[in-house]
Amino acid sequence: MKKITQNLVWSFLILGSSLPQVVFGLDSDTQTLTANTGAIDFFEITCTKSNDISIGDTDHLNFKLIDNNASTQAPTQSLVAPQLLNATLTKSKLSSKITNISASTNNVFSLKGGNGAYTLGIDTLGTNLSIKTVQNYTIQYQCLNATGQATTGSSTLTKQNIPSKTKTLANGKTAKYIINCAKNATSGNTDSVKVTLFNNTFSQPATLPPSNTDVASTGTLAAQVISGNKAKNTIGANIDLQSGNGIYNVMVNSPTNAAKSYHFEYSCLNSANMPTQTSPLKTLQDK
Amino acid sequence: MKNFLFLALISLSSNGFAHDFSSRLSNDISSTDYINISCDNLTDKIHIEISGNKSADAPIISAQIFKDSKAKNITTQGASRVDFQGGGGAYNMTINKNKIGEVNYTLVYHCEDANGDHTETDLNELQNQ
Repeated sequence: MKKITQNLVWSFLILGSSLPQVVFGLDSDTQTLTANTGAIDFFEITCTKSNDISIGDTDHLNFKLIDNNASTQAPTQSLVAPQLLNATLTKSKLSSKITNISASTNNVFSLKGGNGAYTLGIDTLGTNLSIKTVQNYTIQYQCLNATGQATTGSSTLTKQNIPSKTKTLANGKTAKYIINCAKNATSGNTDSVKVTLFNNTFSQPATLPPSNTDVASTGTLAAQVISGNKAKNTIGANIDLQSGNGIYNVMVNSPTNAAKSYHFEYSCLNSANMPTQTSPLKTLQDK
Repeated sequence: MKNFLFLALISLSSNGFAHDFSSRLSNDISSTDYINISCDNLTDKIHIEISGNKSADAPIISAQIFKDSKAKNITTQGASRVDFQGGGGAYNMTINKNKIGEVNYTLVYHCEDANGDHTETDLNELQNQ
C-alpha cells in the first residue's frame, strides 16, 4: 500500500571519531492514507540519550506533518533569514573573511601571513535576530608551509589539526581566538594558516506559523504525537511534544476520510534543540 | 430472592449501560484531550461514539482509539461510531479537531464481551486541553 523507507532530509555530519555524529533530522518518506473510513497510519519513534555527554538526554520530539496534496504550505524556514556564522582571519594588515556559514554546514578558508599570531574572529552578522537559540560551532586549524606541509601551530582553542570542543555563540555576539604559527624544524617557515569552521547549529524554523492560525492547511489531514500521558494534534504546523527519552507514537488520519499522500519530519532534541538519538521509524499500522 | 434480584439489577446498572464523557476542546488547533478506558478481562471489544456540532463551519472533531499496535479514527462528520476489537485492558483515546475554535463534544463508550454484553468499564482522564 505504501513504501516505507526513511531517509535523512538534512544530513549526517560526521566530524571524525573525536566528535559525535550529529543527525539533523529524519523524514518518514512518502506515506499514503486510504479513503477507508477510520483509517489511521500508526508509527513509533524512540528517542534516547545522545552518546555525546554535552548533548545529553532528549527533552522533546519535534514533528512536522506535510500534506503532499496541499497547494500551499505554511511558511517554513526557507522563508526566513537563517542562523549564520561569519569568520575573519587577520594578521597585521592582512585579512581573510568567509561569510554566511549557515547552520549544519562548514567552510574552509586561509590567510597567507607567515609565522606569527593570527586572530580568528567569529560573528553572527546576517542572522535572523528573532532566533534566540545560540549557535554551536567547532574550529580546526593548521599552519602550513608554502608547499602545504604542516608547520608548528598552537592555540588555547585546540591543538593543531584537531577539531575544538563545541563552542557556543549567542546571536549578535562575537568571539575571538589567537592562533600562533611558527617555524617547524622539519617543514620550515609558515606560509599560511588554514581554518575550517563547522557550524553545528541545528537548522530549525526561525519563525513558525502560530499553530492556531495555520490557515494554509486544508484541515483534511491531521497527526497526533503521543508520549506518556501527553498528546498534541497538528494539521501541519510544527509541534514539539516534551516527554523526555522514550517512545513517541505518531498517528496520521484524515478528519474527512480523504485519501492522502503525506510525509513528516521528526527529530529528538535536547532542551537546547540539539539532536539527541532518534531511532529508525517503526510502522505499527499502515492503512 | 427479591434481594438477589435487586442486587443483580444494581450490578447490571453499573455495567449494563453505556457511559458518557463530555468535554470541551480549547481554541488552539493542537488541543488534544487524552483519555484511557480500562475494560475488564471478559472484554472482546470497545464501542465508541462521538458527537458534537455538525454545522458546516464548525471544526470536525476526531477521536483516535488505539491499543497495542492498532488504531482507528472516528469523526463528528462521517463515521461517528466504531467497534474496536482489542480484548481486555487499557484502550487509549485522543480527541482533537481540524480547525481553531472551542468545541464541545460527547463520547459514549462501553466495553463489551463477545456476546455484546457490557463489561466493566472505567475511564481515566490523562489530559484535558
